[in-house]
Amino acid sequence: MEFFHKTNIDFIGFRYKAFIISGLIIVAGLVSAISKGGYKLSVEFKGGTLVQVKFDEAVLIADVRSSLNRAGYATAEIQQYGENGDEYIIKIGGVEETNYASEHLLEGLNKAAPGLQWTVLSTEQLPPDLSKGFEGATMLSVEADSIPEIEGLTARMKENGYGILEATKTTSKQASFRIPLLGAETKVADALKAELVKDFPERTIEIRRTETIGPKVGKELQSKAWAAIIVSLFGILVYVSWRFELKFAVGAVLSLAHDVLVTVGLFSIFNREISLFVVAALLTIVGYSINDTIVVYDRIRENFGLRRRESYEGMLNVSINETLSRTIITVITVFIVTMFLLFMGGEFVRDFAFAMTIGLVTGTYSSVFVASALVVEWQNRITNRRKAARPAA
Amino acid sequence: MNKSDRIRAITSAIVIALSLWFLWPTYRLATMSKEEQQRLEIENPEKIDKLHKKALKLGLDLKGGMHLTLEIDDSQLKADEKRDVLDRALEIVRNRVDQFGVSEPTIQKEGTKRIIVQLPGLTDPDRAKRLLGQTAMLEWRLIRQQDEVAGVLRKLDENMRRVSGDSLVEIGPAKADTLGAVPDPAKSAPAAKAMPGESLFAGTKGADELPLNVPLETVDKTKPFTSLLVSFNRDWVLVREENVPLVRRMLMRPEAQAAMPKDSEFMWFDEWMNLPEGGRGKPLMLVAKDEYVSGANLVGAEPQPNPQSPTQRSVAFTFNRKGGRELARFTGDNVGRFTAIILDGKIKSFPVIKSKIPDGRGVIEGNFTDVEARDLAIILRAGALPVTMFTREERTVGPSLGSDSIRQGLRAGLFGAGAVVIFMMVYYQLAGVIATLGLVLTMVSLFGCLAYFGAALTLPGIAGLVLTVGMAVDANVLIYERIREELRREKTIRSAVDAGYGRAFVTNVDSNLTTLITAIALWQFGTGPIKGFATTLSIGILTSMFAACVFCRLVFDLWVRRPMKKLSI
Repeated sequence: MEFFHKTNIDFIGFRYKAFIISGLIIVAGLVSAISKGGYKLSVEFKGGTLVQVKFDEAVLIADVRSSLNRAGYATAEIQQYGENGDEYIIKIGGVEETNYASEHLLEGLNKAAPGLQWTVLSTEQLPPDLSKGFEGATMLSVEADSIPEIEGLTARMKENGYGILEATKTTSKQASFRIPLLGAETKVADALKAELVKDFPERTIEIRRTETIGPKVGKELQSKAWAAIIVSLFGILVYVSWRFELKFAVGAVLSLAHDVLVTVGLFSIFNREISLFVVAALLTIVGYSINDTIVVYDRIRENFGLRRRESYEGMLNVSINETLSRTIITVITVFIVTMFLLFMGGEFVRDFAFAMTIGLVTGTYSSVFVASALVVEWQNRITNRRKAARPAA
Repeated sequence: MNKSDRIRAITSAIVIALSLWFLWPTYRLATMSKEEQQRLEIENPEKIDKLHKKALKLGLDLKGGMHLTLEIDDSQLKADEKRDVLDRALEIVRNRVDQFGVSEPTIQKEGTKRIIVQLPGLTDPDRAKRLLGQTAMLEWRLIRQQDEVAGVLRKLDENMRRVSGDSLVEIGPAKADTLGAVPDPAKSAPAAKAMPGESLFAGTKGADELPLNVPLETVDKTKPFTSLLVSFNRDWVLVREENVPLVRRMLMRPEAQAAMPKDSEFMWFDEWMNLPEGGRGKPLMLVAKDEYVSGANLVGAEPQPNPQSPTQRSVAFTFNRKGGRELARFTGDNVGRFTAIILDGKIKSFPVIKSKIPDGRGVIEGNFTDVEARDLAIILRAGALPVTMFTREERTVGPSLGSDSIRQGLRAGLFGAGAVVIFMMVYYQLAGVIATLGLVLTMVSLFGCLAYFGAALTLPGIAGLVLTVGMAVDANVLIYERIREELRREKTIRSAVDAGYGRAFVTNVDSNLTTLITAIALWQFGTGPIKGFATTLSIGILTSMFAACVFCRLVFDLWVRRPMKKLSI
């Protein structure tokens, strides 16, 4: 059996149309992301709380919603899990620390300097900024009948185990404190659980999964994900330029960046969430797409010696055509398993499989239409410059 | 068979044999019935431990359990208190995690401020969080003396016998036949190292004076409690390793509680001691509830050279004035008695009081090595300088979710593999069958490697496995397409196969190495489950390359040696 006997498709000639198509998809993805205020990130990246609950019988999503509203989580996102209506995923992003921090500080102040009628005037949450090495904090200004000597006060509080980053006495009755982030999001899961148990007394509730990520960890994961993508692209750039030539390496890496952009763009358009697992899929796509590209490049390298007389474009075209059958067949086998993952693998791997599916298509497309076309563009530029230089000389 | 095929045959055989060998424990455990497993746990716990250790492990997300990232808050500490703050926190966490009763907890430092705790199979995350969230407590308590202990033991025997009778024995039989005569106390004291404070033992009573000599046959119905003890020759008793869970359970029973005096309780020493007749035992001590010094008043603890023996160390400690007064009274009243240094309910060391410590400055002498002395100092400081820890990340997965995921993942994988195999056979015919054999080898050696490296299978890891099924045939497809091309150029079958394998090899290495680069980047930056994915993917790449370039090549060579008109490809 053979799908492709001898093909002779002019892939390289198609390159300007391919560039336009890719450009349009990428731009559409970017526009979607920008108009939605950035990519939709999972709890891991954003920081927040995720709780997956299973009831022993189906319950109405509206009931879950009103229970959450009562608990004070009106902004929570509720997602049905599975088809039975008995399981839900509840996501609460970016938990405010301020209430919790106020209680914590008041407790510490009342222990260290009792009887002074401490009240909190204002609070402000300072999100972590990893680039500046700032770990995040809560700023609170408090009022009391009289503020005792501030250094002694903080020393006493520290002795009692209350961490304070900075304390200043602003007036004789007011002071401001900066305290570390306390991890309020861990309380959310418990509060949520308690509220659901209270509101669905006749149901048995099983908490199947909880995830609580502090804002700092979320930021770190984001930068780690970026680092993983950039490091692998850079690694590929180095490897391919060592094994082939720089222009091949640049063509390959640009087409990989293309794959990543198209995939995350479509994630934004389809309103899907980018999780750590999806990033893993992105990197797998990068690894897979480069695989195809290398096979084509390898053939170009081989044909370079054999078909000296042909035009550069022609030789690239022949190489792509010769490897086309292999490219398509390997995509088919991976596509088969991804489809099974997508439709049978369960909810958890669905986003991963979705990313893989998009990535497979765009990865193959870019290996065939983009990577070598970029090499041609580069090569033509060199030849043109040489041509331009010659008459002048 | 030519030389290179012989090498291929030998390496393939080695890889297959090793993979099966690595997978044997997994197979053994998976096929073992529940009863057999329970029986083995009693009869040969070491063997089952070994099996579990060598078997393929499931990650937290599949087994269910809890992952915690704790971060210490050092903003309330003074500069000198910050020094070993992470070690202190680690000690506290480690000490408490033991209480959860999970089988293979992982506790590790991450960076300079974080501790990662993984508690597989944990069913009660609330309790875990509560326990980890408490402030550490260090106490020095008096250990009750032999005659008092004897009285309590007698009462325990009486109560247990009266109330439970036969039912106790059914809790689980003790391994009794090897418990022989009462060990000689001189011998039963193991190398001094195993027991902090050992050098301080003076005037222990000889074996002949023992009020309770318990040579044991089996769980004795007349002495249900003491029959589980190995020896009783100082102010504490030793419990053989396999009896520890039983004794623990017995002590929790209300009948046992009733036998306890109001002012004392039993506590375990945190370490094992080697028994002279082989095996290990855990000392169980009766400690006072009312006579103690709080470790919160300790202000410092440092290892220092031992004046008596220059190679070994002791630990110097200092109490503040309030603690110093308490300590002076405590030590003054109890010279010659043993004290237990207890961190969060576990005895960490039990020095004897040599003399009154009047000024709060004392030394715990012992033949400690550098490491032991440092650890003890950390323990003392851990209780004295409590560290606040915040939870920065918390993930719990219930066991049912994990088994659902495994089922779905495996189903998707099996169907996917089936479809790929059918496709390969239809498209490449007999050559497709060889590719299928290669796929089987890829998967078997992939699982073998995972078991060997002790890598845990995670949910993303399963996705990685399924993906590997699809990608593993890649190398073969590349080779087969090349062979078809060569055949089209009217080459003989033999030379087409050689050319196909030869030319495709370089391409294979290049294309797979670049995939490996991304997998390694992913491993480097990913967290737990994603690491599992990266591991599976990387190993899958390597094993599939081996299968295609060595094993399938061999089968192919053997196949095309037979005369044939047309290659079935």
